[in-house]
Amino acid sequence: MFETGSKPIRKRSDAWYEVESAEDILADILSRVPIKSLLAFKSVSKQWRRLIESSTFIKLQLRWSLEKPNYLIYPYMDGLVNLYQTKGNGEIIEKITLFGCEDIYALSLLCSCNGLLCFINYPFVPDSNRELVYLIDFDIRICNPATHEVYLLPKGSPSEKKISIGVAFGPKPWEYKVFRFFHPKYDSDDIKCEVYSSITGSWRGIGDVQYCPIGILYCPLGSNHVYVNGKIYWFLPEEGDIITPGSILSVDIEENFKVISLPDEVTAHAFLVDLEGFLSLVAVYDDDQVVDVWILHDSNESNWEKKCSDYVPFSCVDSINFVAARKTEIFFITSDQYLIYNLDNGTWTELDFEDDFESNLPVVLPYTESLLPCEY
Amino acid sequence: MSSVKKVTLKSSDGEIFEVEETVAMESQTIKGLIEDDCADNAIPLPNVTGHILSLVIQYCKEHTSSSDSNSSKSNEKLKAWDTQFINVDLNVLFDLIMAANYLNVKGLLDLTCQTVADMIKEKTPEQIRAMFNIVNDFTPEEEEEVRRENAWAFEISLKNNNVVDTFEVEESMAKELQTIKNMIEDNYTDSVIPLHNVTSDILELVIEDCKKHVEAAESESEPSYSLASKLIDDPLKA
Repeated sequence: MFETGSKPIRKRSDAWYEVESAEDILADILSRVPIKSLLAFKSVSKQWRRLIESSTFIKLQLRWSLEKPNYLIYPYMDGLVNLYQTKGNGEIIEKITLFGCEDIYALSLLCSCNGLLCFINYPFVPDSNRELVYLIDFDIRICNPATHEVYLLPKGSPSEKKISIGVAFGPKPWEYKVFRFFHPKYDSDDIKCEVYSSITGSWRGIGDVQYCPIGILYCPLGSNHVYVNGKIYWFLPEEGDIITPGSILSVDIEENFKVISLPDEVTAHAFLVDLEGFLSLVAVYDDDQVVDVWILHDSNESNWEKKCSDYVPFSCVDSINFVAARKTEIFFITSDQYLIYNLDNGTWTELDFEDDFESNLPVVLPYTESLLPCEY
Repeated sequence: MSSVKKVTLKSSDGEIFEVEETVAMESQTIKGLIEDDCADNAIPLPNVTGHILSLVIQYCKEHTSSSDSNSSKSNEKLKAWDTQFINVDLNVLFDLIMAANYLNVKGLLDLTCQTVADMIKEKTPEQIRAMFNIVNDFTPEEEEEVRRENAWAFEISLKNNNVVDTFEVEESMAKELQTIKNMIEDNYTDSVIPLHNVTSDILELVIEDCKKHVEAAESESEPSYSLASKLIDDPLKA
C-alpha cells in the first residue's frame, strides 16, 4: 500500500515521513501547488527535485490543471509581454511578465494548449519611412508562461508570399508540431508545407499541398486556427474572397489533411474554438445581430449540430476582435466590451476589468498552468 | 422498522466502531471486503488509530447522508462542514491523509491533499523543511545551481491588496527593509508578504531605492537612504 523505497530522512514526527515515503501521496499534494512554488520547492531536497522533474509528475500536474482552466488575456504591447490570468469573473488573479521579448517589435498570441503558448511577430512592422510593411515571414516562439521559458523556433524555408502556421500538441504531453504553409515561388500558386517537431528540433518538408489557410492578416489579430482533440483546424477562404471562410482544412498529428464543409454560409466574423473537446464554429451575423454556435461531432464527416442561436448584446458587429471558449462558455472581446456567453443557460455576462491593463487590442485564450518544456 | 445493516471496524489500538454499511462503503477498501463477503466479523484496520478512524467515520457519515435524496444538505453547507472538519493540527492532517489513502476514501483524500497543498504553496523551501523536518541533502553548490535555474521563482512577493501590483524582489533587496529582514530571518513569513499600510506608488519608490542601495553596496560606494524608505520603514515597524 505504501512505497517504502526511499530511505528515512526524517527524525521526528513519523506522520510526515510516512507521507514522504509514500511518494504517490506527495505527488498528489504537490500536483495541486502552483508552478512557481513547485519550481522553488525543487530546492527542498533531492527527492522533491526528482519528483517534480519526473515525467509522471508532469503528467499528473497537467491532468489536475486541465480540470480548472482559466483565461489568459494578452493586450498587444510593444516590447512587453504581460499576460493576465483571470477566472472569468472580471477579477485578475495573476499577472505574468515574460522576459526575453524586449527587443521584439510586437508579438501576436496565436494559440494555447497544455500550458504552452505560441507567439509570432505582429504581421506588420514599420520600415525606415515609418510606413507599415507586411511581413512575409515571422518568428515563431513557443513559451510556457508558468515556467517563464521562451523558445524561438529555427527559421523555416524561404517563402516568397505570406506564410501560414498552425500548432498541434501531442500525442505525448511534451510533443508538439508546427505546420507551416509557404510559397517557394512568387509567380506560381504552388503551396508547400513543412512540419517542425519538438522531438527532432527541426523542420521537415512534407511536399506540395493543395490548400493554404486564410492568411493571418485577415483573421482576428492573427489567430486563424484552433487545435482540438488531435487535429488542427483552419479556415480556407471562399473562392475569390480572401477574407470570408468557405470551408475548413484539418490536419491530424500524422499529417493527414482533410477538407470539411461549413454547416452554413458565414461572414468574416466567424471563429473556430474548442468547446469541451469538440470543434466549434461561432458565427456572428451582422445583419441579424445573431450568433450561431455549431459543434462538429465527427471530424471525419461534416456532421455539424447547431448547439444554439442567440441575439448578441453588442450593437456593432464589426467590432468583434476575438473569441475564445472554456468549458461551456464563450468569451467575446469587442472593441469596448468583454462578454461571456454561457451556453448552458443562454446568458450573457459583461466583465469589467477597470484599469487592470491597457485595453489595446487584447486577445483571450483558455489557459492552464503546466510544467511542460518548450524546448527538448 | 427495517434493521440497518452494520459493519464492525476495529482500529489499530483496539477500538471498536459499529457503522452502517452504507457509511462504511464510502471506503472503497471496506466496500471491497464487504462485497467479497469478508466482513462478517470485525474488520481489522491495523494502519488506523481509533482517533483517526472516528474522524474518518464522521466524514463518511456526513458525505453519505448528503448523497441521500431525502437530505437537504446543499453543496455549500457540505463545503462549510468540510472546512471546519479539516481544521486540525498538522499531524492529525497527515494521519488523515494516510488513512484516506489506505481506506481509499476519495473525497477525504482530495480534501486533505488540497488542504496541505494550500498550506504549503506560499512557503519558502526553508519553511517547508522546517515544517516537515526534511534534511537538506543538497551540497551548497548543488542548491545554488537549482536556485539559479529558476531564480525568479525564489523571489519574494511584496504586495498590497491589488494583486496586479505585486512586486517581485530578490531577497537581498527585501532585506534592506529592516522589518522585512526580521520577518524573513525569523522564518515568520511566507514568500508573499502583504503590506497593507503601503500604497503601490510608495512601494515602487522604496524598491527602487533599495535596488540602488544594493547596487551601491556592491560597487562599494557610499549609499544613502532616501527619505521615502525612511518614512516607510517606520510605519512598517509597527
